[in-house]
Amino acid sequence: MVALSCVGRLLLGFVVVSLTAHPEACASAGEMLNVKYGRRGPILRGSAELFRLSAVHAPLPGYPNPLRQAGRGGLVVIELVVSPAGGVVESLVLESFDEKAAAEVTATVATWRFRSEKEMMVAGLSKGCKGCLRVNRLAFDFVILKGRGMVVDLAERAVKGQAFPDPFHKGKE
Amino acid sequence: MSILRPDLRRIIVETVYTAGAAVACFVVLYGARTWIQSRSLDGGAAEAKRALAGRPPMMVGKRLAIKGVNLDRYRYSLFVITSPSCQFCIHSVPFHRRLLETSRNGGIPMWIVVPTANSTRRFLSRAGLQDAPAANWLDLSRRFQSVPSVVLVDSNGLIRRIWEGELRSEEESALLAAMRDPSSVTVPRRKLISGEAMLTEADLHAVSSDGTTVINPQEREAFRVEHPDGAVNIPLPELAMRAERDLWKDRLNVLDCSVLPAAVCSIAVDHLRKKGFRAAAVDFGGFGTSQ
Repeated sequence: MVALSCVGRLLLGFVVVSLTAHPEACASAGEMLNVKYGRRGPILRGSAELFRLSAVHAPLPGYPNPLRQAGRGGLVVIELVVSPAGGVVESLVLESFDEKAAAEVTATVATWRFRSEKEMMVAGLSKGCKGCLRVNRLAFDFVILKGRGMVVDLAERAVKGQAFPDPFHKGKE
Repeated sequence: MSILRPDLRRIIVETVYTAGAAVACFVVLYGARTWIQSRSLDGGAAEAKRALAGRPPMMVGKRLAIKGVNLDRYRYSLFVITSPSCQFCIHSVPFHRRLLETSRNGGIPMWIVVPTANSTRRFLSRAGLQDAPAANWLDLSRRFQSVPSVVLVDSNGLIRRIWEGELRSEEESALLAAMRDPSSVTVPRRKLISGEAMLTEADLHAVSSDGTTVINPQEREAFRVEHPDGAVNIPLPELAMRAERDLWKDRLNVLDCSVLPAAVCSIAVDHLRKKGFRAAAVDFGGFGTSQ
């Protein structure tokens, strides 16, 4: 033991840590994000409509050309983890009709920006959950109408469909 | 050439060495504690509990299967879920012995379900329960909430009643009385918050037409394991988003609330109705068939 260098001793420590770490600490690859992040600390869930309302930069994914030409459409459901600052930390496709569509959705939602934690608190949407990650789902419907490919953000449609009150613009008009 | 004086350098090196050794000791001790905890003499209860975590919950009206046990051979069966590492289970041993006797007199087979049969053999013989057939926790198709639990199951495998925890003397008497006449134990009909009764499978057959959609709100993995025949899977967090796309407003949409607490089910059904859908709730109890 005396002959062991400092680095060696620390390495030993890391080896022991890795050998004795609790198996539940490591999330499996296919695990849903709300389970994975929920285990690490408190997360903020909530309705998909409110989650969609909190998006400030939300471009729609494009319709992949090969799918449009083949006339293929369907549903892509994705789960997102949003940081307190409003950036997308991680995403996981839960359901998709095609890999290309899933890849397009994943790439697009990675660029989405959401309201920051401070703005959420002002709007009264994240009381008592300081520093929490937000985990929620979005669904995109790839449809072909008259030969043209169209992507419908189902959460956005649900918001519009029921005239959801926007908590971020209360009393500003 | 070192910029530090030799004695200062020696102090720094020794401090780093000591800190490294302390960290290593801490890690070894912490690892040993975790290892001992995970392999403590609880008959593998901790590991079994972790393995059970992904299974559907044990609820009245649901179907319970247990590996190696043919439930349709008996009109009623009783399962006593217990563990040698749980003090409430140890306190309940005398009652479990009486229960074994009563159920045997009533012709109801009673299984003792323990974390692992091998490691708890001594516990069972000490408890005087060695005559009862033993099964493992992992043989159960559903996870339970607490130990000890006593579960009464009918010949179809449907859970008629669950008694959880260490029972008070009047509860013990009621359970013993129920064992003398198990047919008196009825499955309560579930209701929504509004007081509206959930449909049963028979009700659903009576009211459903060709276009009726049965929505199963479980997550995809759970749906793959078990779901009612003909149900469509829309996980609950996606229901509001996908309703317009996947459901018909002019047809009956029946939400399968067998897998949901009544309060959550009420909110979901109300939500669909507010959006203009014809919606109702159904509680299947045990599923007809599953994949």
